[in-house]
Amino acid sequence: MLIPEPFFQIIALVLEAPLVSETWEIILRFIPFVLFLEMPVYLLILMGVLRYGLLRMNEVPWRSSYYPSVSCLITCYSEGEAVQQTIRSLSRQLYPGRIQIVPIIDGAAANKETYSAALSMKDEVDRLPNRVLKVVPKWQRGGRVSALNTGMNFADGEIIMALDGDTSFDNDMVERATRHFENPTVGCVAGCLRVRNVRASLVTRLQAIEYFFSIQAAKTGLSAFGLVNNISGAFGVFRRSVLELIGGWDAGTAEDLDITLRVKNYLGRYHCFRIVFDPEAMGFTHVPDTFRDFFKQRLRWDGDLSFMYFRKHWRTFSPRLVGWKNFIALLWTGLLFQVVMPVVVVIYTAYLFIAYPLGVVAGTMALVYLFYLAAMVILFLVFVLLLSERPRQDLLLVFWLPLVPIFAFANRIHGAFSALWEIFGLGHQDTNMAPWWVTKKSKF
Amino acid sequence: MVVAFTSEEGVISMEEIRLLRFVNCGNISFAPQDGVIDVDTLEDLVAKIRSVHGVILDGDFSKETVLMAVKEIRKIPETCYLPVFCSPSLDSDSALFTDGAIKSLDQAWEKTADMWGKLNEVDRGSLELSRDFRLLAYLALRQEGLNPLLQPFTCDAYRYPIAEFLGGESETRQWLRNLRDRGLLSQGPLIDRIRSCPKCQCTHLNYIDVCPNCGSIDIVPKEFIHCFTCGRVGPVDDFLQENGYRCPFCGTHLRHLGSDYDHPLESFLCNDCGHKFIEAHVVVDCLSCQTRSDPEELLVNTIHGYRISEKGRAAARVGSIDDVYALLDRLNYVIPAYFNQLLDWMILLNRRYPDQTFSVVGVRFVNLIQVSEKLGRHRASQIVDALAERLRQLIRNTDVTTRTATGILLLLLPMTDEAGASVVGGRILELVNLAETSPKPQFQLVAFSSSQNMREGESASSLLARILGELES
Repeated sequence: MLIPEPFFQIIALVLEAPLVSETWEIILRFIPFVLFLEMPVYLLILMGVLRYGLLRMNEVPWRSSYYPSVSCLITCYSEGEAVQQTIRSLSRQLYPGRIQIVPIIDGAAANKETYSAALSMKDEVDRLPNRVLKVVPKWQRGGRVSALNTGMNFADGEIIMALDGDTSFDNDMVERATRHFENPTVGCVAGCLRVRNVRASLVTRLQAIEYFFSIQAAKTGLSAFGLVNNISGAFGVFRRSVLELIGGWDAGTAEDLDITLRVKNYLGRYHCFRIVFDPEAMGFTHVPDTFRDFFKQRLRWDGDLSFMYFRKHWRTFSPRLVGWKNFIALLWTGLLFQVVMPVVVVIYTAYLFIAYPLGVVAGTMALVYLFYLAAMVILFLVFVLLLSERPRQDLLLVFWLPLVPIFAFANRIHGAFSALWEIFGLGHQDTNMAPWWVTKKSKF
Repeated sequence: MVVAFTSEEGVISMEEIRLLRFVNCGNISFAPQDGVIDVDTLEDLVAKIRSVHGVILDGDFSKETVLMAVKEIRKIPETCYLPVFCSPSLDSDSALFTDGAIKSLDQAWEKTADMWGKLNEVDRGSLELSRDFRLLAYLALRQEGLNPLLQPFTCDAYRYPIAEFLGGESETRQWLRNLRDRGLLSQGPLIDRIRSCPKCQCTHLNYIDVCPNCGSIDIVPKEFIHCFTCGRVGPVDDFLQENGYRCPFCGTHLRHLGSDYDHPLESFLCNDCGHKFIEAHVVVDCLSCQTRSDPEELLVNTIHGYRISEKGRAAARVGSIDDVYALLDRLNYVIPAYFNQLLDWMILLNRRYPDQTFSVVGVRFVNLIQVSEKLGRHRASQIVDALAERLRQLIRNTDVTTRTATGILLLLLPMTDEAGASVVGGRILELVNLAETSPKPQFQLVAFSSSQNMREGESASSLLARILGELES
């Protein structure tokens, strides 16, 4: 016998578990937790997506001739030649208005390759009508915030886009993103992101599915109720007057969430302006292609999240500042969903393993997995049908869906540790978004 | 300070220099001064110009006035070489037509004196003869050469205004090139290379890209799209639909540059004949005569400055555009025809009065061509110049010289017998030793004396034929 005895015991336990009464006891304890925390959010998103889908069907394909001038601030660091694709995709937009492309090379003295790659696009861009390229070499490295604020000095557009150097855009992106600003109450537009290197590895495919759920679908749903939780740093669009009102970007990490929260701080006072998410203003970004790099990135992101909520922006959690609707949404999707839930899940799982026999735990986990998988497949198909602008491409990902609940669970656990690391270890200062001598001086 | 110098007219001291000042009413830079004649009209300037040694344009004249004044001075042969200065108030464009701005009248005086000091470099009798001499005289007296001026609104683009003033406006460029080919001018720095219409030589050309098929100028750039899904390539217009790019072959919505499609090339479309092409044909339209040419048909002109050459200086000095032998012509020179006549008369005189002896000495510079090749024309002409100077000391006032077309110097020595002739010949041969050059110039010498070698029925032409025959054999 080559296969050890305990292996068969585990298999037998898993197969028997769903039929054991103890399993159902656990499941019943689990249900309210899921029902009251997660389901309302999923339902909210689903309703929002349905609403969007209905409105989208009646949308006129080409809009009135409102073509404001646009400045695209591209924060570049060591992207190298990848920045050329970003510049090229912006210069070739199907947009009759003026587009000023401003790549800001942070630490251009050290990143000569990126700097010369951006400069070499000059002829190609200037040849095109209504396109201007202005490469800004920021010789001293100072982080994303300083790069964006530097760029603002050179930007002359009515609409300002804050973009990443390793993100390229669909050719109708500017057209889609700017159309919202015709409505004077729209202050910011959050752009949608997909994974550019989706075929690179398993982890990029899983991230593609995650981006589809958490960005394209979730933000569409939240946007329908005016509850956009974050304007991605890789792709944010602002009315210039709004940026001037809040005084540009603020020092510290996670400047995208920071600026979102700071914009929201004005929502309670200026009821008339909104943040809109457009699922069809599409950018393709480069994501980590190994699990190691992926978890390193998430450690930073999740840490930044709790840093934002607990340290820098705890005062934002006030109905007086952001209005009741956003207050509840922030509490729910931000704090509970993204920070509290992972910690609860970890504690709950640990409790299971301690309090119950292995077979029961395994059975419970299997059922929970099946529940999530079923919910995910249904939601995925609905979202693809209602939302996706590339349905065929997205449907191919359906084969990877069985892995997603496990991936998400691992992510949750990792997120919990990141939150703890941030709370106890000041992880946000350990970031590669800005050099240490800059983050050190930050107030938070 | 009294600077005295000699000219062919004799000695002129600094005090004798008279300057003519053309003033612009109420706007003069220098106070009036003795010896400076003021005029305020162009007519007065022309009337008095022949009696002065230099001209000053004092005031901020318009460019037209400066051009007219300078032109008047340069076109009169006797005054074409006169220095013309201007006051510092004249704008720099106009100052280019003068000999430069002066800071004070004293400076004008000194510069004029300098120039007149060099006047023996110029044979003033020749100025009337041709525009060649006027230009050479002008250049021989100045450091600067002849520089082209950019005149954008003229067909030539570059012109030589001074040369035009001196020689009239016809075919100036060809004239200068001709002088260069004859060695009188040397080429200065290359200023520009300019293309001109093969028909009318105008430089105002329009380079225009046209359809290679029908020659129409109505062409538009057309970008192409390559659809990654089906691999088709076609002009953007075929793909553009109201909601973006859609491939007309496979129907794919092309959203993302680089992953759905790219722009493989840019080409052109002719709106007249519908021809598609990658590279437009470039033709050149002359804006003056409307002739259309291909770029390779254009005339390419190099625009140079010109400097006077040594040969040019020599020509200016002797008033004859010939070679270095001309330098010898300062030795009691008579033209060959008169020399012949004189010799005939001497032969007849000797027949009647045999004691009226005379001698003829023929001198040939055997290796002048080699010396000239070895040391350069400039050095060779210096050597000949020095020899001519010494020969002048050797011969007497009554001796007469001439020079044949082949460069042989003939001396007619009246009242000189065989012994006297050989003394002169010996001294001429000694001259060679004074030259310190290598190779040394070599002389071949033939002496004829009426007392010895006279034949029956001898005439000047037969005598000279004998001498030349001996020298050139």
